[in-house]
Amino acid sequence: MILLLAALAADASTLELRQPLKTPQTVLAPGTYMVRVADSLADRKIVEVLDARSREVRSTFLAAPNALLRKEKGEEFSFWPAAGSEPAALRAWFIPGEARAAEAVYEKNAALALAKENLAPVPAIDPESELPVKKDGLSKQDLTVLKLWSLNYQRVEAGDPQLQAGPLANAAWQPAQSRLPQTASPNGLLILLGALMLTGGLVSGRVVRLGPPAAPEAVVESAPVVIEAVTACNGENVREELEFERRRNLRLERLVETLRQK
Amino acid sequence: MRLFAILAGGILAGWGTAGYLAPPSAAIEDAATVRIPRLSLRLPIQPDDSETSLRQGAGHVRGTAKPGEPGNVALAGHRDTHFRPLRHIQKGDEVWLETPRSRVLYRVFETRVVDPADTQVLAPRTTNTLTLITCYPFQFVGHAPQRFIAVAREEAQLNPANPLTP
Repeated sequence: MILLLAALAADASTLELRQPLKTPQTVLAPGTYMVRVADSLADRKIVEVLDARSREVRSTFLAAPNALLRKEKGEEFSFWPAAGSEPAALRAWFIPGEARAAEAVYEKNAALALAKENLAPVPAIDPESELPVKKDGLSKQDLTVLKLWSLNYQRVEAGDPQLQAGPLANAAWQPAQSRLPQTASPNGLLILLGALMLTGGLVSGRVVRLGPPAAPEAVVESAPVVIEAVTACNGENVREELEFERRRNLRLERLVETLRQK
Repeated sequence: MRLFAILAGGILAGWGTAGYLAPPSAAIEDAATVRIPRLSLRLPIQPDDSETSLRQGAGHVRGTAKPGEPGNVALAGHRDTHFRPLRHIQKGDEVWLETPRSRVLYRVFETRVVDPADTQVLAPRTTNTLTLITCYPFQFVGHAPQRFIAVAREEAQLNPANPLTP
């Protein structure tokens, strides 16, 4: 019994409302409610909202798993904000212990209204997917759950052609421009181009300074490795000059040594 | 040639940096302004979204409600100058739209990235909204391929003559 209660608690959350809240099936009055999963499949949850005191079911609706929705400030529910005379609407329930949020699936027109108002995709029921359900021996609640099982859903958003054709589209409104304004200044390009030209100018100066005029004097007294490097730049003439210098120095050193010995 | 490259490079880089750091050039006192306190952003609103206007502040997007009027007010700005702080905007941020005749408080409820052809973001809605538009990605050099959109919903209107009276 204790285990059963724990399992129930893991699949349920308490929802406290101070303002009316729209759900896919009804508008909930302010009060305290318990939200629980009535049934689930890989692609859907059937969610029930019960009065916290009387345990009567107030709303049953379809919810689609959405891994992209994230909890804000640890809240277990997220909402579509109120718009005009419409109350706020339930967007998603972050079921305790589950990685993916359960996003409420609305009737198509309501979903289109929410998508247009919030500029975000909203899962919508495809009414054509509803199958006839036999009523024999089933309670009203069971029939509702069965109906929710049969329904397909899709995500609609503000840019959808359906929105243009739907009753919520503002047929009179036409955009004054075919594209959104160009909002990049040329500053970034100017800085980049300027920096490239500056670097090019400065580097080319350094290359010139490293060229032939400076090289022979710098390398006269250095090691053979450096002589090789300069030779690569300036050709055989430099090599011969340097060899000549080296031999002369050697001769001078030998002469000095000979004089010392004498 | 080398001297020319250094000189031209210096001029271009200086010009670009000056434009990057330049404050809005229109007189804020006389213009409608958009203000986001958390980002320390305050800009004059230019009458259109031409290149000249966008160099001077936020530009009002043609065909949308004008500041102070009901409807969807859309403002565009350069992502690398005046609207640069928008990269830090968050859901819940306050945005003030102030004209000599009205002060309207909006609150950001959504940010998103859209295609430049998605003009649906400019469409009027059932509630008064403010739509801020700039280029995306923010670090892109040159004409960026997408647009960053921040949408705020009107929360309160104050009378500038008596700011405590809604």
